[in-house]
Parts: sequence; C-alpha cells; structure tokens
Amino acid sequence: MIPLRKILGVLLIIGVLFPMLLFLNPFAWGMRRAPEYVRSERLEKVLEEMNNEINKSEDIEIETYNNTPNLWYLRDCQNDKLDSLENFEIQFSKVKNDSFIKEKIKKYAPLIGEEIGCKCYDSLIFKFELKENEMQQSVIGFKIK
Amino acid sequence: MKNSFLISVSFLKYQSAAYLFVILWTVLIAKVQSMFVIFKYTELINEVLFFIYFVVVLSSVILLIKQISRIYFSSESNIKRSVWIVVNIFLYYGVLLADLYLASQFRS
Repeated sequence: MIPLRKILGVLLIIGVLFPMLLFLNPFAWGMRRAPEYVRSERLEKVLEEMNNEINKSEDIEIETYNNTPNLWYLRDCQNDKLDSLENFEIQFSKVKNDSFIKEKIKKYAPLIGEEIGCKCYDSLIFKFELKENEMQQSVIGFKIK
Repeated sequence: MKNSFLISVSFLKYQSAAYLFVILWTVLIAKVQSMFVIFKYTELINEVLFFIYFVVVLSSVILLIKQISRIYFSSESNIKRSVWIVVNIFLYYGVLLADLYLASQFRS
C-alpha cells in the first residue's frame, strides 16, 4: 500500500506544477487585460445625473469607453511626458431630439469638465447620431485648456 | 551536506522570507503608486522586476519539487519541515500572482 505521505507529496508536486499551465501559457499572457479608461466616481455621478435627466424624455445611453486616456496616458500626463493632449470623448446612443440633447450638453459640459480634471485633456467632445439620419454624426466640442 | 541544506528548517524560513519580500514589494507598487511615480523610470524598473520575479518563480518550481521529494518521499519524517514546505507553496502562489500583476505594469 502506498503511504499517505507519498500521496500528499505527489499532490503537493501537482500543486506546484499546475499553476505553470497558466503562467507559461502564451495564450494566457495574450489575454491579459489592456489598460483602459476608467471613470472616476465623481464623473460617474455627473454622467448618471445627466443620463437620468435625458432619459425622462428619451431613452439613451452615455458611453466613455472609446477614450484613449488609459493608465499610461494618465501616468505620462502626471510625469509631464506627453507631446500632445488628447480629447475627452463622450458618446451618446442614437437620439431623437437634437435640440433637447444640445441643451443638456450645454448644461452639463462645465460640470463634466470640472470632474475629469482639466490638466490632461485638450477638449471635451460630445458625439451623437440622430435616429432619423444615421449617416450624419453631430459633434459638439468645448475647449478645456 | 548539500542535500540536507535545501530542506533544513532555517533555509525553508529564508525561502519564506524571500517570497514574503517579493509579495510585499508588489503590494507596495500596487497600493502606494504615488511613492513610485517620482522615479523617472518606474515602468522600466517594473519590467526589470517582472523578469527577476519570473526567474524566481521558475527556479522556485525546481526548488520546491526537490524539497517536496526529499521531505515527503524519504523514510525520515519531520513535521516541522512538512509544514514549512506547505507554507512556502502558498507563498509561491503569492509570488506567481505578484508577477502576473507586474506584467500589466509596463508597456510591452
């Protein structure tokens, strides 16, 4: 009969070798998450407030995922290593009422500008498409610096 | 002499201390980043650390397997050593995670 100690030893060796399947797996390294833009809590709050106000009359979603400012960009900005400043982009899903959205954008742009910290961005850009005319994209920009 | 040194309790303790140091240093990098951004070459240092930790992990695999086989597959039983090796294996998992974290802290 195999003694219990030897079985334990084999289990421990498996326990040491098993994580290597992940650690030395090139696919696992390839899957590592790229640094992406993460909203600050205060910005999240302002955007939620804006979203709620707009959603009273029409159903839209506000996205900030396509911003370049990721971990590296913000670190470079902190260390003054940036050659040029990026814009901060806020995208709306398709909207019905053009003038209503523009009015809300004008109301919230200064608040958002305050929350994103002006040091690292050149302009605040709002982008949206009209439901009736999908080919045309409206862009409204506010200079921060 | 060489064989018994690798499984001596004092060596197992030093091994744990080394693993703990690696883990704590990575926790510092993760939690107190403001301490590190004052260095101009933070990312380069992180990259060098990543490769050092990588070598530590790979050599640990060989070392741990040697230790386990000498402690668990010999007729002589020593509870103290058997417990230390298990502690070291858990700390080795911590070093693995630390290295995986550092992999995301430099630009490739």
